[in-house]
Amino acid sequence: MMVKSTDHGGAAPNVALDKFYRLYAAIGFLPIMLVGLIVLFAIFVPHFLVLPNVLNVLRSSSYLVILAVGQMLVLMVGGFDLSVGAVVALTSVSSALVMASLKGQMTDQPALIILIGVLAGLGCGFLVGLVNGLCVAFLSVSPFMVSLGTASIATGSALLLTNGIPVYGMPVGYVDGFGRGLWFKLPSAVYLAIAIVAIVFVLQNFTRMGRYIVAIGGNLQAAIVSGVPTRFYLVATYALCSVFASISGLALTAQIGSGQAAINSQLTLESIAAAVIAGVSLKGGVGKVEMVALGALFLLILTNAMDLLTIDPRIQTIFLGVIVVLAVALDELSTRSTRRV
Amino acid sequence: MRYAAPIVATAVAMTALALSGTANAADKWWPAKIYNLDSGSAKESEYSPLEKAAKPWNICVLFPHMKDTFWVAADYGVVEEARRMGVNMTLYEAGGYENLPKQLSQFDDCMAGNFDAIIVGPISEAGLDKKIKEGVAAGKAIISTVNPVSKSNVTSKMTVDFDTMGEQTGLYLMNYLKSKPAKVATFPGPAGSGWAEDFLKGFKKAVDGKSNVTMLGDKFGDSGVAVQLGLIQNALQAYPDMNVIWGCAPAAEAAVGAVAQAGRKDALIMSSYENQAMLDSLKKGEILGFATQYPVLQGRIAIDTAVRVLEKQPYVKSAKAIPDMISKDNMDKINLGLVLAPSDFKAVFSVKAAM
Repeated sequence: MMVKSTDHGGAAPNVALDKFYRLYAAIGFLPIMLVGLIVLFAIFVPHFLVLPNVLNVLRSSSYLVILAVGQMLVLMVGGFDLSVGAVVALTSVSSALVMASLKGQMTDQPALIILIGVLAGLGCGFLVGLVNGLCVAFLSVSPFMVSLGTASIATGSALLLTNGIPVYGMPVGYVDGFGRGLWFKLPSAVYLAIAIVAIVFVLQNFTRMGRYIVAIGGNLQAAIVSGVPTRFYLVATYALCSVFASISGLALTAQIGSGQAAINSQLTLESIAAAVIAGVSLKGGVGKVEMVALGALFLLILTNAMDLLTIDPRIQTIFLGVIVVLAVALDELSTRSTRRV
Repeated sequence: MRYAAPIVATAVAMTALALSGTANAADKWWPAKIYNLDSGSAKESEYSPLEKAAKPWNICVLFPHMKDTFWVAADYGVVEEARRMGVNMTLYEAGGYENLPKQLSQFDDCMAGNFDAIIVGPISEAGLDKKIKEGVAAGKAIISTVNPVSKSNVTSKMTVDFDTMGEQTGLYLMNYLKSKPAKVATFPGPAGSGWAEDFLKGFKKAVDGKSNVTMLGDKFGDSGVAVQLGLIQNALQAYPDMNVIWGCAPAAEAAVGAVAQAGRKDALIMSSYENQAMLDSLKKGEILGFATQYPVLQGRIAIDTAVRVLEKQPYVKSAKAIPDMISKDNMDKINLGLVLAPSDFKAVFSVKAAM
């Protein structure tokens, strides 16, 4: 990595500043800003750094972390997945419907009911991802348009299945034990998020697929010429992204306690924002999973602090927008300064 | 068995009679109380429909969407009434409040089709004003329902005041609390939607300035359950002493799980309007209650009004629903068949009159 050579005009270099600059260039601005914010909020925001609130932030950011990690993989292969929010809704509805309908027939087997319901939800997610991937890889359709279309199909299906009525009747253990449960004092969704971040970390850094994803996103033609099975890996990436969205949907459904067709219209854009804040390039080929997890955490911490400060939600949305623009601009500046010699 | 056939025939006939009797009894939704505004001020009056339509009129219905149980309830109202009166009904839904252009083109479809009357739940009055003028000029009966219309020259209109509904919930809360202290946070719905602000205004009219009530803050947000859940979880942290959660139906729904999780089951939960989840939660004792504007009734009255206009019968030009607060105390006294569709009802988009 090249570090910007500062032009001191012959004066002695400011060592401390230079050290900070090297650190900044090495790890990016996000972790520094996150630590700064946490310190700031701990001092100035009442109820911020107390255990119930920390658990609250960790829980609510887990769903977005899982989604954003999937979104990152798709962004890295130079694509877009606008269907993740719709997949969350479809997973929510299908898994809850399957569990509720089996409940009457298999009263004494809650574990099996949960397993079949979870598999039904994951199956829906996998199917949507497969369609996205196949269209992008084999038809070379714009991922933007394909995932917009599949989002519409998934949302419509979820509404058709439910009639707009929340689906109740999931096994009590699924809602209380998993959705609202604490495992070793942490919300269950946090473990899911950590596991997925760990899996993708290994995938990115130690597997062929991780290298191929970077190659495909960096230069598709070059990857094809080099003999990378690009189509297979494109389909796999989109399928993985949708399956992650399904996992997020399953956790969210268990937490809410009912299957919902209108679960959250903002999740898709939030997942893209979290990834881009974390330095994932919209042009493809660049992204680190650990940063994306921090990006999602960053968004949720901001929202939580603003809620605790009881800031008007309309101002909150403006502020979040400013933060996103600022983060992307700063990140672009830092990468430029490291590229310049 | 010489007598078998007559016995069976008699039994079948009696069963059929009994069934039709129960069907008619269940169908009889009138007299229903509404506000009649034709004299210039709101007068409470009893509404009764015509018994049957004189001929199978063709009625076109336009709804903003069918994505929630509220509009499915309004659908149930128009469908059941069309069946009861013997008229043809075709319904188009625009797919969401963001789809005004779609509703406009659906209005054109109604105009181009062979329809005698158009019932519309307008996405926006300003947006539909020109279409309504065209419809009236073409001699169609144009009836607006549920959503407010103030200036457009519709043949007949029915709506409800959201602030009255909000006020109902506030008055009920004050009555329930007696003089017990309450710390209230509100979750009205999307900022800038108009309806969220109106419900809140009504609620505050009833509770603001009362010595035993502290208003902690108003948390606006998108009306998805997940967004509301986030707002409520953060509010539970920000206001450890919050003991009343008032808001839109998805907020109340999210609150049920959130207070259970936070070990705050003492917190009272109220919704400013109705949906299936609220009714289920009320039956389970998870919420204090919710307000209703009787969407099924409004659907039924819209069909009856259309037929009255077409058959030159007297009709109400401007009506308002009288909202009610539904709580566990009065649940068995209220005709829930005018509040929501039965839970197994699936949206119906067309009714063919039996010839």
